[in-house]
Amino acid sequence: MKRKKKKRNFHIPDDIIFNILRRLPPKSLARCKCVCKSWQSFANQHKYHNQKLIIFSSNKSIQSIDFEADEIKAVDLDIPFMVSNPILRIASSNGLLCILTERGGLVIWNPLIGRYKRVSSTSKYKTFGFWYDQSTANYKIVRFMSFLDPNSERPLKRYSAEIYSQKSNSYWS
Amino acid sequence: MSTPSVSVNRVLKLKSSDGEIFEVKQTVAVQSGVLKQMMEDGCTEGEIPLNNVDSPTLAKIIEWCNKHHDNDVEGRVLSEEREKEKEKEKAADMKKWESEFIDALNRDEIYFLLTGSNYMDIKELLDCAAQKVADMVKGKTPEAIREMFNIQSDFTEEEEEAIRKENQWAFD
Repeated sequence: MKRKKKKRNFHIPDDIIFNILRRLPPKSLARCKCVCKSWQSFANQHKYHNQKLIIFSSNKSIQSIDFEADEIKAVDLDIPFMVSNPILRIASSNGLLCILTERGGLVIWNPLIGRYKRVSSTSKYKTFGFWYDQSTANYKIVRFMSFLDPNSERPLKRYSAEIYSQKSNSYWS
Repeated sequence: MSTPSVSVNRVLKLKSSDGEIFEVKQTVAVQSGVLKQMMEDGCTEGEIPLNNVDSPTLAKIIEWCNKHHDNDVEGRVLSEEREKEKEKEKAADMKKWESEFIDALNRDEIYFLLTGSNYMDIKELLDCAAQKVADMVKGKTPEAIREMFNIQSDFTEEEEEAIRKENQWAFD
């Protein structure tokens, strides 16, 4: 009887909610964001665990290995923006992934909370780098393009480099 | 050795929020960060009031701590390999005991255990209970989760629609 009375205004402190949410796989976490505003902000604070290793195993899937799990095995990640086209390259920083697909351009993705942002729609890069700039607290991408000879379509020995800044959402070369 | 004030035979008297007294060996009580700190500070004389933990919950918490108290004092005459094997067995037994312990509790009991272990700072128990609740949340709809935690949505209709849309992939 006593307990029932207590239950009516039972409240679980925020740090415990956070402890619970950080154990959830991406899909469940995304659903939790729809519960209420405070849960939404908890779920958005998440960074991908350090204990997890991301592996890019084939050109259609990205897998993660959780070293804290009882059984250590690679699990396919649900990729929300995917993608029937092959993944060309992948880079990561602070748990964010930057993915270049053959026709889908460049996408920055947080696999834990399922949020992503397309930062470029073209895919014509030789290569790119992705890092976190401590000094400006900003994620940046540098991408390199080679120019093709308009007649022969063979690559010329000219390259251009562009830097993308996540804060300003713009490129400059 | 790091906690010289802890002695094997001494007991602490813990008083639950509803006034029940529980006696716990100091060597068991060190699993609680709060009690450990109190022992180090030498302020564990008399009854220690735990105002946020009721007696059924405190009983459960003590059951857990007693089980996890390492009282393995048998002589170390086993070979190293046998030793390792034994450790493995012990770990597996403990895992099994933990899951039976937590599965036997109903939802309210788990919530009380969560807040109680958080209050007393018993990390392993808190983690175990949090994992159990996370497993209960998995696969549930936002409505079911609200029901489970007694939460009212504070989104406007437009906000709710927008956030559902953003996370549509999680509902497919």
